[in-house]
Amino acid sequence: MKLIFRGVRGSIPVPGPKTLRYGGNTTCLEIRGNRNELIILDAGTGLYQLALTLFGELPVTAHLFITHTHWDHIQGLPFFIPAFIPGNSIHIYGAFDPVDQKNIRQILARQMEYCYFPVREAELKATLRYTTLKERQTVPVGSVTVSNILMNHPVLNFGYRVACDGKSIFFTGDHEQLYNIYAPEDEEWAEYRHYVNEKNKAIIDFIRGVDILVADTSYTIQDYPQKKGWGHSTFDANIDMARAAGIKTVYFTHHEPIRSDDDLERVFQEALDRKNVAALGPACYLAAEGVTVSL
Amino acid sequence: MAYSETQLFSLMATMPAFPHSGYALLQLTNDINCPPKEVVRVIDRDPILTMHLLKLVNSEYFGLAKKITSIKEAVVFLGINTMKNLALGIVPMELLSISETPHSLTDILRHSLAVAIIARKLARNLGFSQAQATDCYVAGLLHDFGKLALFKLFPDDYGPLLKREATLATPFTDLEKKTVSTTHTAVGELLGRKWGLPELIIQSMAGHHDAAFCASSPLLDCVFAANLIAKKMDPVHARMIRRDLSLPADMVDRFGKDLDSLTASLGLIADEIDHALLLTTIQEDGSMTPSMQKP
Repeated sequence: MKLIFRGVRGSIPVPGPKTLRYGGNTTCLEIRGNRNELIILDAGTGLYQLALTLFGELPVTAHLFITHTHWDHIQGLPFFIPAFIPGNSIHIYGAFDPVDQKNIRQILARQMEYCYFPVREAELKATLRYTTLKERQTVPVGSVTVSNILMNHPVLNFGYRVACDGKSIFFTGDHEQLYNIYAPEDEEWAEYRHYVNEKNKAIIDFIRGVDILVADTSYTIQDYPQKKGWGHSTFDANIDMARAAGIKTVYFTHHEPIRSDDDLERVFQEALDRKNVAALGPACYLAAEGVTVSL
Repeated sequence: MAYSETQLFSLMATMPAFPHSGYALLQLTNDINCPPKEVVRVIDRDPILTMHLLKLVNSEYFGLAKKITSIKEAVVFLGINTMKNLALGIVPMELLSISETPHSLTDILRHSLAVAIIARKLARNLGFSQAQATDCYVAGLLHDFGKLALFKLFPDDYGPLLKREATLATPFTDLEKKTVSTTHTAVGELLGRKWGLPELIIQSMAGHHDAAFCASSPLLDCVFAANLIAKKMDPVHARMIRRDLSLPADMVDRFGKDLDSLTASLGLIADEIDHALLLTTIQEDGSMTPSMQKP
């Protein structure tokens, strides 16, 4: 199995001289199964970079799993060129939106309405198929299986576990570590802690032992207090999560758009030192656009 | 059939208590930074809202892997933002005491929601605070509550009258007096006082057909105008209207627009109303009442 980072930035694309080393495109991960199955996690602007590499392998069958439909995770979709070419098959998977009462097709079709984009969804030439996923539903794709669990974000967000021939990757999508909304002196604190522990355990059990964790790491612990509740995690919390789940390798992604490459490396190194990663593990890396990891 | 005042009063005593928590939730969430635990406390104290939310999150539609048994647990598993928005979607139905949306009352629900949303928007456009705009929203939602009460008290006499309302050339309140010896505005006022609602909301229940009375109050005029706009916007209603719908001159001065320009200034309000209707029509199995879907 192979993992290729196509977009690693959070929130908004930030091209420019300060983001050359890690890249400015928003979230998109390409995963190749051992029979070259094409699994794509999220359709941020990095999807366009991936699209440009696919012309040599037409017709393409792509399985695109959307963690959630915030802009930075879907913005590349209208520019996914294989969708315009007859003979290609694009399968799109994602969660139901309970607040808007829309399935994944209805949500994404909106993005292709005439006022936003010149080509309507109905005019795309490839075969498009949509599947609205339930939590913990497993989708087989050739030699690969993709399963999901609900994470913690202001909208429903699925974290995806992708497995193939005994190897596996887990991608959090956007996720904030769970916290107690009550103060210890509140009478509800203990009850809420029970649910938080239960949910944490469910996530840890789900991701236990994956070979690679790719985790939303927007914030430092210094940033976090002002951004609590925004739905993103920290370097330190992700190192803790990897350790709890026995994961040996972590890639931090969803880099804050405000951070230059130099700033990113600095806060990354500070977190590694603070958490004594050199001695205790896991192996930690900053996800960078274009980097391929083989498992 | 005519009813004596004593009969009316004793019948009114059988009306349900007002769900104050729904109103509290609307006011609380005016602040985007309201503490999550306050939102949970308000919902937790309201068994009807809690029941609706738990039915919804456990529905097949939602697709959760785990059965959720309390609001706190739902907040941990789905996030406070999703729960807050779901609750706000259910509140209108709760405030109108329509939990099963019998078909004969769906027109009132649709119209009341439209008036609520338009009145809130008008108040915001005039520069009123978020809290005042929310009072306009609740006033709009409840302005015709007297009709629901009369229907509940005298279904056989009042039901046929309600069906013909839009086609009548004579004032509806005159026919109400003939049929049930009272009017929806008088009954609305009585209920509003019994429930201890804010004065603005009571006045709107009592006087929303009285242009001169509404023109005297800078918030009541928003509900008055919203009522006319909602009637004009509703395609079924608009076709049957036999009465002149226009704003009195002093309101035109105050809004700076006549009724048509005022309607145009509301932008995509129809979409907002359709969206609000969605969540009020979810059934126990998570599906929606077909008759309530967008025509």
